[in-house]
Amino acid sequence: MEQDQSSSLFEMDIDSTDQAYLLSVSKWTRMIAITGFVVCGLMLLLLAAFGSRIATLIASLSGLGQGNLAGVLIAVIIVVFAYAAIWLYFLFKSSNLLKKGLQNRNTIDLAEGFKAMRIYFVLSMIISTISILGTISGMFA
Amino acid sequence: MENQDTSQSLFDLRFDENLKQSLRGAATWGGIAAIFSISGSILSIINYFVQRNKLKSYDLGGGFGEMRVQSQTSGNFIGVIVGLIIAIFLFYFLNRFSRSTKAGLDTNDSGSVRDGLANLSTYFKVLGVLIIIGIVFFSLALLVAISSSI
Repeated sequence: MEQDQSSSLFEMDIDSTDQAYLLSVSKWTRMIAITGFVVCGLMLLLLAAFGSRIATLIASLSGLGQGNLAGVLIAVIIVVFAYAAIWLYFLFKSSNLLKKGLQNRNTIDLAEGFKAMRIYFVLSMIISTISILGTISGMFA
Repeated sequence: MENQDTSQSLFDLRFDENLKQSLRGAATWGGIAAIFSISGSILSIINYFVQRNKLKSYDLGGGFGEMRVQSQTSGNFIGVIVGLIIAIFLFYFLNRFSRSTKAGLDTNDSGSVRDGLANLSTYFKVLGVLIIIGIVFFSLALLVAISSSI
């Protein structure tokens, strides 16, 4: 019992203000993730509609064979969209778990929500690293 | 005892060890992501000047070619500056989330953790609003492009 009391002394409550911030995080991350999914879907639709024209145009500009270029383009597009989908999925998962945790007053869900957010930040860092490497290679090209 | 614990956990939300560790993980990686993001933006500014110097070194022969390059570089410069301002803004909130939350969890200071969560909330709010603004601008540009082609 004494142990319980001492542990509660050092434990922090998640009060109504903290819960309001967490709910706000959940709402905005949900909005961002859904918007991201919609934008990705629209871009895929545009690519499906005009993909062959774009490939022909780039092939004529780059002087590469159209078959090779189409293959490379498809591979790049699949990787980029798969990465974006995974990235947004973890943001969406984080949003759902934070909301569920607050509604059910369950710290396990809240913890899982922050774990999903950690993965989202790791994936964001990888995107920034790729961008930095691209910029550096562009500077010395 | 068990009943007491269960009823307490039903009504009180507390930062238990598992939640603290998860929040600390998110805060740590959020801080790292913020540093990488601002580094990328600073590098793009440097890259802008490097590319501009490269363009200047080419012999354009004056006339329309030079004018076109000048207008392109000034357009790019505005884009790079806007990008940098947004990146600084986002870095500030994400970095403060990371620092305050970690400090609060280390010292069991609920005020610092609250401050961290407030900054995380603001970070995603700003990001959300910027995305909405971006979509509005893109839609307007698309409308203009479609109407001019008709």
